[in-house]
Amino acid sequence: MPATTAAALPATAASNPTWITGVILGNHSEPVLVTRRAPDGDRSAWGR
Amino acid sequence: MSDGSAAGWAFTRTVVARAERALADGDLRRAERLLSAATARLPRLPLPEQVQALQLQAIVLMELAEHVAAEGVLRQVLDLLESEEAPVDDGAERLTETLTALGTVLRLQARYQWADRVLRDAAAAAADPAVSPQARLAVLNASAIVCKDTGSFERAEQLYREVLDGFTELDGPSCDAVASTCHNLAGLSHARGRYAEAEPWARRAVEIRLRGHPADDPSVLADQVVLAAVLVGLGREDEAEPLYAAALSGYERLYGPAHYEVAVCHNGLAACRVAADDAEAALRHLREALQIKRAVLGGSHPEVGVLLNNMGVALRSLRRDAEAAAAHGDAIPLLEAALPPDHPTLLSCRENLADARSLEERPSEPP
Repeated sequence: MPATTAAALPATAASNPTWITGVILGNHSEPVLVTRRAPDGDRSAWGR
Repeated sequence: MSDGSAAGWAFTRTVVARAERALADGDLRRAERLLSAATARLPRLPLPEQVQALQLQAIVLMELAEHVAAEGVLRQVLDLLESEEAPVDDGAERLTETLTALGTVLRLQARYQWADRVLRDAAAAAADPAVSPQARLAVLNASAIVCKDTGSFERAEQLYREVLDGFTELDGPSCDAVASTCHNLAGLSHARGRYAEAEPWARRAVEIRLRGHPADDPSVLADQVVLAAVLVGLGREDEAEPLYAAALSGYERLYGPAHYEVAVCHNGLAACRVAADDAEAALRHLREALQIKRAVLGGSHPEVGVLLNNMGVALRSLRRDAEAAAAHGDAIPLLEAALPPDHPTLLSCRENLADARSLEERPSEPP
């Protein structure tokens, strides 16, 4: 994921840019929804 | 183009410097235009500077989530580093970084086997004693994310712990890299369904990050998004929704409405709307997310599969069971192509499909 922040970047190309902070993130976590089953067996409700 | 004149170099250097300023100002598009000119059309810089300009261009492209373009630029860097033209002083460090970034953009395209192969090369390059410990830890981190994405959770945890200990020792417990590793550990626990375990990691990431960055910094937004996902997992969508909403507007302001991160927020907001029994709004968010991710990642990416799955669940709650079954059915091949057969996301989607089909076959009940 793109995660380099402007603050983490070098001021000039000659100042030996590094992108360690740029590649270190990227671990996206997103909800994967699943059908929720209510105790009475009604499967119309749902959740995460 | 190759023109080694001093005047040509001076002009190209000016363009690179302008690109850096544009990047510092957050204008990624302008930075990319300038770097593209500097690296491809203007008189070519001496090799070490050309490598640096291309690396900078790759950073910008990665930040723009243009993974295919970033891959092309990184491959150019590798060609230059391997050329006999003129050795680069810190070649081993550059090679390690470039391979790490290439492994990352391959992972982002869900080309996991290639990512793994390139990251093994990165690890080999990092064995050179001239390579910094930070670059070595970055290889481990990138490898850990591949393990997480492909369901090798225990291996991912081992690697992240090593990365966390390494950066804590090197740069202290409040450095950005520690915040990022906490972020990643939260994501790993999230992927394993261990939401209670994930929350302290996510909160620690946000807390550390806010010490060094303003609240609207993209890295702060990213940490808040992982916290929001964890809160959704914990059933605390009411706490998650404002975080997603704030991140959505922050990312739109920074990157525009069609950026990958915007899609991530739409998916999160959809989950919150689902929990609030507002499936119509959830579907609107999911359609937005789907449009963006298809454009950015291509139509067969597993993240598109996740969105189709989520759309199926939203449709189910509206009792549109046939459409729900179709959405789950479309999602499964995309997930199967990229994930191992026992991956939790794939298992959930299969279960959702079975549920949707069983309801589809049942006569509808009176309201």
